[in-house]
Amino acid sequence: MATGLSKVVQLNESTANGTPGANELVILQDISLEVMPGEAVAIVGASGSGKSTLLGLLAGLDTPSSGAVQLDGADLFGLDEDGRAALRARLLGFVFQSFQLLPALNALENVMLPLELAGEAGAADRGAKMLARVGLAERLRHYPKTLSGGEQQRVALARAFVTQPKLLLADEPTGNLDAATGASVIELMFEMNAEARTTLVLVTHDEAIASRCRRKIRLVAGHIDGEG
Amino acid sequence: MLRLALRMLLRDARAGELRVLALGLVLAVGGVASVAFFADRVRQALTREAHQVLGADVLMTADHAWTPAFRDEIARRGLSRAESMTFVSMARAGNETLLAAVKAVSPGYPLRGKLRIAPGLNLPDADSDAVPPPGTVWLDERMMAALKVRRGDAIEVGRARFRVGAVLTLEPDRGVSFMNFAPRLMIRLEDLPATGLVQPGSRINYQLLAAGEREGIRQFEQWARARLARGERIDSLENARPEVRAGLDRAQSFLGLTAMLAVVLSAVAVALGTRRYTQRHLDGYAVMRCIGASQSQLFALFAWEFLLLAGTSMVMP
Repeated sequence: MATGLSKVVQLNESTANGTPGANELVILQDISLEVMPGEAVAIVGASGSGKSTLLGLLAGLDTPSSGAVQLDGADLFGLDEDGRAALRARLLGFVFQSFQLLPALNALENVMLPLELAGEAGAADRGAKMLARVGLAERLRHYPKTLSGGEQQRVALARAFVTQPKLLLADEPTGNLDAATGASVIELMFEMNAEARTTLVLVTHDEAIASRCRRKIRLVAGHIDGEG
Repeated sequence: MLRLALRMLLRDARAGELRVLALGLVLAVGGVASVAFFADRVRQALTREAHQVLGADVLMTADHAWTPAFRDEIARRGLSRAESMTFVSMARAGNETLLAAVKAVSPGYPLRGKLRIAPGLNLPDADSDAVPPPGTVWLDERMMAALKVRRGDAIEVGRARFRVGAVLTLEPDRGVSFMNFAPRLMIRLEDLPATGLVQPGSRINYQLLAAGEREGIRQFEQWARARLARGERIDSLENARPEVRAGLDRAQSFLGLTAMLAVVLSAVAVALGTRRYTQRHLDGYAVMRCIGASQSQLFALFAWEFLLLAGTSMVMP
């Protein structure tokens, strides 16, 4: 068993509730999870099983009603809001189902954004290199609306990897793509993940994609129903 | 952060995201500025027009002759000057006599506004740039009718004999005092001594009129007010023509209301523009939070963006 410090993700009996009050809804119940560096973990489950909430907990965007979440050894909810933001900037990359590129920014600027927010130098060069890596060297100045869905998700991948995150959180990254495009995006994501040795937590309902991950955790009604 | 805000603002502008907000802001700033400018100009024009009812920018009245010091000061400050003397006296034409409000005026009178005269009763009148020529009187319509005189007829005022030159249809500075209810008669100031009506103890009002640029007038009025002696006063719109002052106040209130309405409408335009901008950027904020921007960082970023945009909009119109 690895030590607590070496784990990228550690959830201890975390519970997340929605709609506080008399009709409180338990979304996640006593979830415990450990993810080791370089691991690829798929979280699968039906709609409403709590997959996205779990991802929100790991990112520090949702707050657990009980339990603890540690990222790279840091107690996520022992930090204040700015502390969690700094941790996200340092550790996390995100890939969303609906790409979530900023429409007013072109492809390069979207990729540069995390570096600019972190005040890092050489954002343009690093962004351009990363876009070249995802095969969009010719599309640097294109706005999201002029890119296809697959291209937009590639830009999102470039944005997620440009900060060289320790942990990549991907929420249904192929959910808005056709099968062929989705497969190529997934291929690219696993390639880049392997190159950067990034830890991957991937939420998907696609068993084929999930089976490419080393571990598969199945969520049912807010509980871990099994792990394979 | 300022640099990133400027970059984000330029990116938003380039992508057309700012169009509605910027248009709202430019319209707001332009609208408020032009309404304020217009209101100020109208206010100035109204005040200028209002001064016509005094016939001057400053109208000074005394129950005795003004000392040369006041005339000299008006000249020293480069202001225009005119004088008039008003009193009540009998006028006679043939067998008809009538108590008249006599006004003897110096050339240049009035300094603001114009006299209007007509060649005869019920004939069209016109502006006059001059005062009655020597030996001539101008009578108002009431007096012409009461004395049964026409242009060219003779009329006696005191010991002097005058010729009726015109019908006086409008005196801009005709006030509402008791004397002003009497029929009007206007002669040239130089002709007054010949009438023999100016005697020690005569009830005569001596008017000194001054006009010129605003600052010079303001300073002269201040100077004169400090040196007023017994029986001397400075007439303003408030005390000389209160009804005009009230009208002017109402007009200014209306202009103020118009300016306020422009501000409210502008605020609504800006609010709508901001709402649209915020709605379109909400997902972007969420993404930035996910990729590590803190709340304070985002607040600073967008506060700078809005400040830069506001600054630009203020300069543009």
